Amino acid sequence: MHDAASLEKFETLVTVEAGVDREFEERLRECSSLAIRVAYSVVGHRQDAEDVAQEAFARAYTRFAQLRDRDRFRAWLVRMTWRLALDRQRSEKRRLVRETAVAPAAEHTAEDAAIAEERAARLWAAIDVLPEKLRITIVLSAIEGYDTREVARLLDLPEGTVKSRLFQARKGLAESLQCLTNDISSR
Amino acid sequence: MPDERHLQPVDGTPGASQIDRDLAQLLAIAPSPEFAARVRERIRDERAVRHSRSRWWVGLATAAAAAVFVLMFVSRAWRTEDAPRETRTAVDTVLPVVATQPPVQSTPLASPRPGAHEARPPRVGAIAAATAHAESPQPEVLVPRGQLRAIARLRELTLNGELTEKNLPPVGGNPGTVIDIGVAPLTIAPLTVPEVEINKGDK
Repeated sequence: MHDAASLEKFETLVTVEAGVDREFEERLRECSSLAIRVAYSVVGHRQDAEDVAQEAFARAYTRFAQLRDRDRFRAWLVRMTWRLALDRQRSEKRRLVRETAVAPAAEHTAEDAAIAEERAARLWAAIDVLPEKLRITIVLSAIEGYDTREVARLLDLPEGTVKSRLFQARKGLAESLQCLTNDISSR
Repeated sequence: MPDERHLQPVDGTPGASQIDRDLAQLLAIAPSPEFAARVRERIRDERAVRHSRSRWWVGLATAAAAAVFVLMFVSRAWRTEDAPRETRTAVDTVLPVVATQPPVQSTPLASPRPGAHEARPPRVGAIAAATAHAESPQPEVLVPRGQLRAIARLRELTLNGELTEKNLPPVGGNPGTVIDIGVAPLTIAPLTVPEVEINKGDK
């Protein structure tokens, strides 16, 4: 009797754990890119971004009971990844070097690649000087295909606030890029 | 879609749409094929660490509970050893009881009205008797001294394992007279409530 009860309890536990694992697998599959891109926007290095995203997923797993809802999971993951990435950036500022290599598919010649790299480097520099709340807004916006509603959901902000921040971020980026352009041309 | 109303390209600077395109292209990285496997491995490792940690805590808690239980048991045994022997004899043995107090007669409740104060003295007397009884050095259960000695002897023989036929008193002998329990019957006087007079002027 006792053995049967123990076995039943064990089977229930295994089933619950398997269910959790299955759901988590699903989240992992659909949110990996999001987490890595968010981390990449801060640390600017693919390998470091993957490490940060991995850490965020590991933490998400320990709190998965409260994060089963898809939207809540995505929002939590973005915030956690962002925070971890900032921590990593602050602690390893000297070591971290931004990658400026752009995916070569769009570029055909070496000259085009060089121009793209130069543009990427300037864009990174412009992003880095943006205030944090504007930076995460424009980054998430770029990742999510400029869907303000989705960004608002991820940041738990009203859509109007997201639009306003997006406008300020674009303006800031344009100004920074203009300054960088002027600096280069005055050399 | 990017909001391009507010920003127009300026002097060699890309416009909002160009910035958005560049940014999207910059961040368009995909996870490496082994990323998911690494996450799974990491979770497995952490789960194993957590299991071993929880096992350690469970072991520690069990050991602490066992230690507390043993300590309680030992201290209780010591306390039993330290208790005076006579008291234990008087409490542990079933002995005939002798009534030590005269029967207390219950009286009706005192009326709050003046004139009913005569009912109080017996009640006060009963309380005084009970207090005196509580403060008395005598045990509550009284046993004749001879019987108590015999019981103590019997107990000692039993505990030492020396209880043999030789030591037992002869069968058919006079076991002594057992004193009957004398409990006086409790009598309750009927409750008398004086009639309440209502005066029309009283309010």
